[in-house]
Amino acid sequence: METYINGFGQGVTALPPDFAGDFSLGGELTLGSGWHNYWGLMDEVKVYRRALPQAEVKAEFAWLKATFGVTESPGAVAPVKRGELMDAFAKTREAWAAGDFASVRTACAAVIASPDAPSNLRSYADLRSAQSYAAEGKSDLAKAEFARIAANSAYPLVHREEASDCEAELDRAARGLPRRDPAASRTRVDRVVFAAKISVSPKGSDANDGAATAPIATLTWARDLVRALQAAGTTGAIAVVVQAGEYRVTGPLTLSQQDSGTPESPVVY
Amino acid sequence: MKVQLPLEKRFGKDSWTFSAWVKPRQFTIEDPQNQRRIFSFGTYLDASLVIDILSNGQLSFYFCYRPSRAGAIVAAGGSSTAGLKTGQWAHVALVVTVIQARWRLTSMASGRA
Repeated sequence: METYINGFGQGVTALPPDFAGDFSLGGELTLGSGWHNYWGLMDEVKVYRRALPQAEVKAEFAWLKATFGVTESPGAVAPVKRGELMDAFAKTREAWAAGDFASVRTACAAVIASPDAPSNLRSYADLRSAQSYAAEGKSDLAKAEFARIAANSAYPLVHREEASDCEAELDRAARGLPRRDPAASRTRVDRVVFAAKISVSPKGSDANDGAATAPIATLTWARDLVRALQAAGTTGAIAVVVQAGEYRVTGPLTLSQQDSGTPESPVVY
Repeated sequence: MKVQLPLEKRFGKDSWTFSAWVKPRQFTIEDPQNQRRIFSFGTYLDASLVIDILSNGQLSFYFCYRPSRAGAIVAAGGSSTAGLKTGQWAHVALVVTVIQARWRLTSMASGRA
C-alpha cells in the first residue's frame, strides 16, 4: 500500500501476510463523511479497480496540477527531477548490458542535455557515451570524445582526468601495452619522519614518558605532552600513537587549532 | 456523500486505488480521535476500508476485517510522511496492491509393490 501526495510516494506499507479480507461485505461507500466529517472541498474523485503504477499517479497529478493551481516548491520538484534523471540514466545501463551502444549514447545524450542534471551527472553520462565508442572498437571517435570531455572546464576535475586516462589507455592499447599504467596516476608521498612520538595505551600510565615501551594512559595527557613539546621548540611532525583498547573518559577531550600543529610541524593522532 | 454499491461493484479481494483532489479547510476536531474521514467503504469491523486526514494533515488509512463473527479482527494501516495544508489543493492517492496467494495441487503417485 502506498499513499501519494501531489505525485510523491509517501512510503510503502506492506499488508500483513495473512491479510485476505473480502471487502464485499457491506456496500456502503462514503466520501467526506462516514465518521468525523471532512471539512473542505473535494473534486475529481476516482476509484480504480486495480493498483495504479507510480507513473500513472504522477501523470494524474500532472494532468490537473495547473487547473488546481498547485505550484510545486523547488524543494519538492528537485527529487522528482532527480528521479527522472536516474531513470534516464538507468536506461544507459540496460542498453549497455544488452550491447546496444547506440541506445546507450541516445540515453546519455538525454541526460547531458537536461538542464536539471548536475554537472557531475552530465560529465559521467558524457564519459559513458565516449566509452561506448571504445566498447564498439571505434577508437578514433572515442579518443575525440575523451579529449573533448577532458577540455570541458564545466565538468568536475575527476571526470576530466578520467577522460584523459581513458584517452591514454586507447593509445597504450594501440601500442600493445596494458591499458592502464598504475604508476601514471599514483601520487608519490614522501615518508614522514616524526620528530617525536608519544604512545598511549589503556594499559599505560600517565606517570610514564610516552615511549613505545612506556606508554601513557590518557589522550588528555598526550595532548598536554604535545603542547609541552611545542612550547619547548620542537620542530617537525609529532605523532600520538593510540593503541587499540577501551579508554574510559570522565570529560571531553578538547582540541584546539594549536593541537593540529603547523604545516611544517603537524601533529598526527 | 453516501452510496450503496451493488455486490458486483464492491471491493472484494482485489487491488484498488483511490485518488482525489482535496482542499481541506480545517483538520482538527474536538474529539480524542482527532481526524477527518475522506473515504470509507464497508462495515466497520466486519470489512472496512477508510482513509482519513489526521490533525496534522497527514493522510492515514486503516483496513480491517473479521474472518468470522467470533474471530479476531485482522487490521492493517499506515500514514503518509508528508501532510496536506489547509486552503491548498492537493492530489492524494492511495494504491492498494493485493497479492493473491496462488495454490497449486500436485498429485503424486505412491505405493508399494
